[in-house]
Amino acid sequence: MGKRYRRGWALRECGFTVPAGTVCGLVGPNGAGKSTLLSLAAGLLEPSEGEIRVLGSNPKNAEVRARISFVSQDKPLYPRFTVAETLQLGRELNPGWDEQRALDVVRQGQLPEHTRIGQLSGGQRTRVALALALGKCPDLLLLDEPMADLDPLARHQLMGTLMAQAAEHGTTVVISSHILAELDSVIDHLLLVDGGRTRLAGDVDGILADHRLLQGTDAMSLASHTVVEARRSGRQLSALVRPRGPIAEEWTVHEPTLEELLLAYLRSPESPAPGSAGADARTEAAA
Amino acid sequence: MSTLAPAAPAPAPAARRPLRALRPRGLGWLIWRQNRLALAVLALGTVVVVAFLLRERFTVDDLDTRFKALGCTTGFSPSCATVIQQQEALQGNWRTAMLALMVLPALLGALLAAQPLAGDLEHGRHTMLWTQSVSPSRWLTHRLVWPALVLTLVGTAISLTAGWGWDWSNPPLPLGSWDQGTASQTMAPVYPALMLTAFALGAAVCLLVRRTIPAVVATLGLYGGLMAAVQLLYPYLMPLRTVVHHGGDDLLPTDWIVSDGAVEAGRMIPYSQCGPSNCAAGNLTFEKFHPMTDFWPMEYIETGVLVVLAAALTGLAYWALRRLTR
Repeated sequence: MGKRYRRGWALRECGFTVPAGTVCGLVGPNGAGKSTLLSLAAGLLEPSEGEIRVLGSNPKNAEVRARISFVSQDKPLYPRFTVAETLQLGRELNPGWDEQRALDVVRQGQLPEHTRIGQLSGGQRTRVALALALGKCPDLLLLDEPMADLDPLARHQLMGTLMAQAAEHGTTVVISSHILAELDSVIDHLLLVDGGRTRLAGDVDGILADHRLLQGTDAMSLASHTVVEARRSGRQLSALVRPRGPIAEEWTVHEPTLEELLLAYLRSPESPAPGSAGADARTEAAA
Repeated sequence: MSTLAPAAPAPAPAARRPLRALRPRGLGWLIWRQNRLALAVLALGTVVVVAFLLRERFTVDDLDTRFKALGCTTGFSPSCATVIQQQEALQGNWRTAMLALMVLPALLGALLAAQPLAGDLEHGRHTMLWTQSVSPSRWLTHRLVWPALVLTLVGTAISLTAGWGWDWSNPPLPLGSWDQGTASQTMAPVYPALMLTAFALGAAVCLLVRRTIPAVVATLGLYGGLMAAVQLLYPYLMPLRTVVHHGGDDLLPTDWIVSDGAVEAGRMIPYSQCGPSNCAAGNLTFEKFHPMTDFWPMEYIETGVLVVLAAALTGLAYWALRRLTR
């Protein structure tokens, strides 16, 4: 799948599958194509080449549209509407609206009913946007950096609300974020896009298990492994690799954290992606 | 500080049920909520305009009655001069009101089409709406249909009142003044069609521009261009009749003389091109004109042209929407 704008390709040769019921982290640097990817999945755009299938169908189909919720980065709501009117908007426009579910999200934030959206703080607006998205009872929830402008406490609270709702209803969540620590322990599926291409896609545990963080000296050889990133500090060498065989005993080896793995990939845009030519293994997101 | 709580299922009183059934739902609710202030102002404004036109119309009749009662048709007195002065002032007021009515479609097109549509697009609210269970084309259809119905009603009410004033007032405001343009434009069915065209223009512009202020300014500017084009082309919607004669003419007061001049060496030249030695007395003169019988056919032709233009602009709006979601 690819998406081309006038200025060039935003996404190219992008192929992946996100399993139903998972929480998928969509990671990539600015301009990587994350928002475009989410817009395509939400049916707001059409691919220029290839196709995207969501819940087994074209996301522009009315039936699929009713099963997808999307919260964009700037949480565009009507500033003159009150909180109650914003929820009424959701009720009026969604046949499967669950008032109680939306109210639960709003009530947790103690939001005044008759306050206009324009008078709410960023965190409160995000909460209303999430209530609008969750009240729709989506099977797929697409979140484009939803917590970017929130303080850590509000972020923690909203993420908790979100994950609890998703777990309770078995909602598939795709969440893009710059805050890597925010994704750790939350996501169970990973999608790394960079330069408009998918570089990593798959189960988080599987991806982490496929990689090793090696520490040793620069005299030691990495030739038998696929090196994602190698960093030297004096004579010390640390490298993130995908092992292609037994690792020499002189290396100090441990499994990377999700943040270490993602940072290594983001710092090394030229490193081979799993499944690419020269890489040791084919990476394919779980079906 | 009150917080949201689940709505208690209170049984609705029987008398309220019919009203509740009438309340807008779905996208209709959104459009009502978004434009309720504008719609309230529009409703009030329509009542004021219709009341003003009716008052003017009855004042015209009253002055006409006084004119006849004073015997001004057979003799002249200072009282007649006063009445004539009042009649002229009233006609001036009427024409000013008609000119204001000509501007109104542009304002309403900007207020009900360009401003809310471009506002949604500029602030990204369209992504929020299109990811509810509403497709972009359905969103646009509702955004166009409901205000268009309101504008049709408003345009019809105003233009029927204006037409009544022009046409049935004895006629103290003879349709001979239709050459001034406002008479033909402010009557039904041209005026409602003009409102719809301005509205479609606002919608198409805002989907192309997607910024509120530029869309509003462009809508007003393009409407000005449209009106200039209408004024320019209007006389040629039907073939002009031509009469050639020696001095004077036998045209009726209600005929609309579009151009006149002298015939020199077999060529018709307007009086403005007559040199000091040309167009001498005794030469043949000509008038190109529309008889009163052309008025209504021309009204219907203009309505048809405007409806086709509104349909084309609506098509352009859908095309721009399609481009936006590709």
